[in-house]
Amino acid sequence: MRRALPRRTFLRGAAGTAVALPWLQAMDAGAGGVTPPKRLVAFFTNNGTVHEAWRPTGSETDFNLGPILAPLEPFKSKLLVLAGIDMESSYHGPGSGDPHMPGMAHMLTGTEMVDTGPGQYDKMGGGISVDQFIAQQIAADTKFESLLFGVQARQYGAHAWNSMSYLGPNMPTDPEDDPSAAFDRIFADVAGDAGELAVRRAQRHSVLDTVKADLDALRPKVGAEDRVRLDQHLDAVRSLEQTIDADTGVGGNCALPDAPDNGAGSLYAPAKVPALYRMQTELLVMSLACDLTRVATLQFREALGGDMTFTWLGHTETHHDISHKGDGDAVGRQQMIDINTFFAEQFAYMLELMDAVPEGDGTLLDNTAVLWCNELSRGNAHSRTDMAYVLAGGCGGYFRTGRWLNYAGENHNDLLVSLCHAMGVPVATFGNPAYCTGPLTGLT
Amino acid sequence: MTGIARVISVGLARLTVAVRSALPVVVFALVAACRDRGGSNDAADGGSGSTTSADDTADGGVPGDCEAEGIGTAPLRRLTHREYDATIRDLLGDDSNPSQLLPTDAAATGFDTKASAQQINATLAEAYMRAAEDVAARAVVDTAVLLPCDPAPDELACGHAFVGSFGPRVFRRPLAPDELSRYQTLFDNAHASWGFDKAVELVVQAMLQSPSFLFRLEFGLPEDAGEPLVRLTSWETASRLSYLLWGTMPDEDLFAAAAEDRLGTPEELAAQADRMLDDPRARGLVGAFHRQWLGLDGLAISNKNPATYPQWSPELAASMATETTMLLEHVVFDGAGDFATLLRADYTFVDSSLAALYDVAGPQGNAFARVELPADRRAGLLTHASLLALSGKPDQSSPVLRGQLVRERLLCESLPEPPPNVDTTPPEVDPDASTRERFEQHTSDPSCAACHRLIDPVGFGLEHYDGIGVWRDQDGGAPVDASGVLVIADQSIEFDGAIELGDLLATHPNARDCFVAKWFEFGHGRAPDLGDSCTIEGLRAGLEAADGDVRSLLVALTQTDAFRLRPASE
Repeated sequence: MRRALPRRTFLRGAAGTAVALPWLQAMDAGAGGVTPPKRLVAFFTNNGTVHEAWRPTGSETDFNLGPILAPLEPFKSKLLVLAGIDMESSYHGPGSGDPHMPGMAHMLTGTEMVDTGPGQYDKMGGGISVDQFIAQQIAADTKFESLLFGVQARQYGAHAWNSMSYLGPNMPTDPEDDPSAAFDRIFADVAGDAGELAVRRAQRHSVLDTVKADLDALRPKVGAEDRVRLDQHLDAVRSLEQTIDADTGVGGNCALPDAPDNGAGSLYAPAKVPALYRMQTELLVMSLACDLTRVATLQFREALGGDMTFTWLGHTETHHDISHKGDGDAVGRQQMIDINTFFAEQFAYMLELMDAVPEGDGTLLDNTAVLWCNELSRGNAHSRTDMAYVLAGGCGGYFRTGRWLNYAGENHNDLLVSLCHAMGVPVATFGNPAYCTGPLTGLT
Repeated sequence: MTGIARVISVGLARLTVAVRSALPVVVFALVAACRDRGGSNDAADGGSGSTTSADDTADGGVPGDCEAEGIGTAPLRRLTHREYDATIRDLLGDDSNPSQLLPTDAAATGFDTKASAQQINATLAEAYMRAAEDVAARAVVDTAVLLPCDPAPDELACGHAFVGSFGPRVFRRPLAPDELSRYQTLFDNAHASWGFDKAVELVVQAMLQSPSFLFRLEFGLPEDAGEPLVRLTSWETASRLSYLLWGTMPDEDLFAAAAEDRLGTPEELAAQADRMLDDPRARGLVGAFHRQWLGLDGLAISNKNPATYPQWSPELAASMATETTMLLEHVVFDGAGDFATLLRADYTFVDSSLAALYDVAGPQGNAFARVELPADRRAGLLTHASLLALSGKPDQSSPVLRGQLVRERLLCESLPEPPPNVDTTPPEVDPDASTRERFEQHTSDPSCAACHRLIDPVGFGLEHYDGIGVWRDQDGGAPVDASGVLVIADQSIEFDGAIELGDLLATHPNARDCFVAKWFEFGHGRAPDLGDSCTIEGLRAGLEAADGDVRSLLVALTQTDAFRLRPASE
């Protein structure tokens, strides 16, 4: 699959002369009986939903989507709508001071948070998250082990509310909020003269070799706690070297997208959200299509995120304030429905782009598992039971889609195990085994 | 100032533990423990810093009964992005703020110096690589500035000389022999492949990605090995001083002092600190502290309802932040200098937009000028539009957020979240009801009142200012009632209005102790905990003895054992 794309063709695309978006007329890389790779995407939105408007009606296979999920109608046959799963682990361990916080930290880790200081909110996620775990386990020969995108996710530095993906306890990863910077990082290094790229690669190696030698020399001289930090640095540099080595080209059904235009003003202006969603989604999908990574996330702002107002939906109150409105507040509930419908539209756009990428006998979407997750179930109750998950894509035929399932309080750790299995990582449990029984039944 | 404190009740034994400040409770308990242990000094047989503790921390009248080993942990510090930019600036004259290429630093729940958040993951390592490449490319545009020699006669010799001269400035210490040879080898190989300029460039790139640059590694004096506490080398002390007081690398004076081992005694440290506080870099550092302590950067992303506050704009928000940083800097460096004046200053700095907001005569345009504040309306920090707007809702004032600001930022208390399933939406704005009336439920509903009686009555005292800090006499069709109650240290203290509240906090030991704790946290990269009781006690006493002088507090930060020593590595 990799390097199936002749360099010449790619560069023609890079020059903007031959490739018309959307996607992939440039190549037919999936031909020849090669099995396309499996991919995982986590799509996060915040502050819970309105179940009455979210939940499908009808039977497992013959059902109608509720108003919130209506934008997903074109992809109904490729969905698994999952109700009734509990995020039980998030009711255990540190971080009970604010329910959004453990919701976010447990969402993809399935294990207790850890203390990072004496304060009530000095907590962080307590284990590796399923996206990073899978990325490490599959150890794909792609340029990036994973790519993490944000829509205003890191307005502030990393903390427990805006960190969902972890390399380990108190080791958050960093989503990229800036589409232009993401584009440069992902695509700029693969477009260029092959000779120049080879020289730069060699230069980077000589520099990083020196840095690694510094780290090796210092390690034995420092105490245990400092050594942990140096080891993390060393791991990071090694991972960076792999990225550099992969600069030789791209695979898959790939066409270099146009450089995104961030537009004027702050990336964190609320009104920028729709444009950011569009740009980040396009970059994410093309990163997968070009086989630059097999694991990606798209994070909307942060759990709680109290200062966001959906101005273009006509709201004057913040998302968080609206999420707290009681079930009897018809106006507030409708605003919450509108917000979540907006999220569904963004999710649908991602699925649309993925489904337009032909791969093998199907599409990129068919080879991907896309999990839409939230740190809460009902925002006005701060509950983390009966979570509202949507799983899209068959992940190479692993999931039996086109259904909605109502579970009876199974733990979300089991869902995380199922994602591992779908991606070819045969673990017995994920996160804290105390909240895990194995893969979720009924998905395959 | 006006007489205020009408202490009306004592006895808050029922006050929930969660509401009581985590920090003061912990620290008070520890100070007691610390005193109880007075006299014993089981580390006195060591030749290390332990023998100097009692006398050296006595600066400012510290009781000498703390044990020297009680200095708490010293976690590894990575340069913050702020420090990274300043260090690149001072190292290479490059003021492009290259940290713009880096993922944001963790500052949201405190200070950017928080050590526990300072790992280097793959994303950050890659960003450091790209930033180093940019910086190095700019640095070699004119190598004459960078090099200690003319490369023409002998390029290799000059390259090696460059490693020898540049390396110690990047690592903030002399290079070990293996490091010297490693970077010379890098230079030689790069020189053979890509020529002299590129070899210099790659050396710069590599050094800027080395852990010895990005981290502030401390090994201590070899002769103290085996002691529970070890003294720092002079080079390590020089970096502690420069990052504590300047937020950047040491200057030539500090490097010279380190080379001559003149940073060992408290007197030498105090002399350096005094010198450093006269440097503009200290103003930058103090400004960074103030911005993070008060959360002023949040103004840049505050949203206000344009229908309610048509004058609100990003420019106005930026002016508000500037006002507060200017005033605080002026108080510390050019004015009375004491903590109390931060909360009581009868003057401030405004541009034309703020002059209009405050209804005072001021300068034209964007220039800031000092003005006297109307004595019956404003004085000190709590009356600044910046804090009032930050703690306002988009369309109204918020007694809750304002009370929270005082409790958390000025008193270092940690408030619990509202219980699950509570609607925390503020009551709708009602032209016929005052804010106080609309928030009445908090004190009438017992489940809310337990916490909100500590919060709202503080915020009610700021009701003369609307959601962006404009003075008002009327609210909800009636004259503003700005009477408030501050429940603190087992007392309920009544006050009327922000000026009285500021006056009350200016002299309250809890507020002063909080200020000390915030500076400790900012300087040491972690909040004070059990091991820091002696340090905190010393700093408090230092501030007290200096009549609250902030510069003296900064000097005192360099006088503690916690600053001069570190616990032995495991």
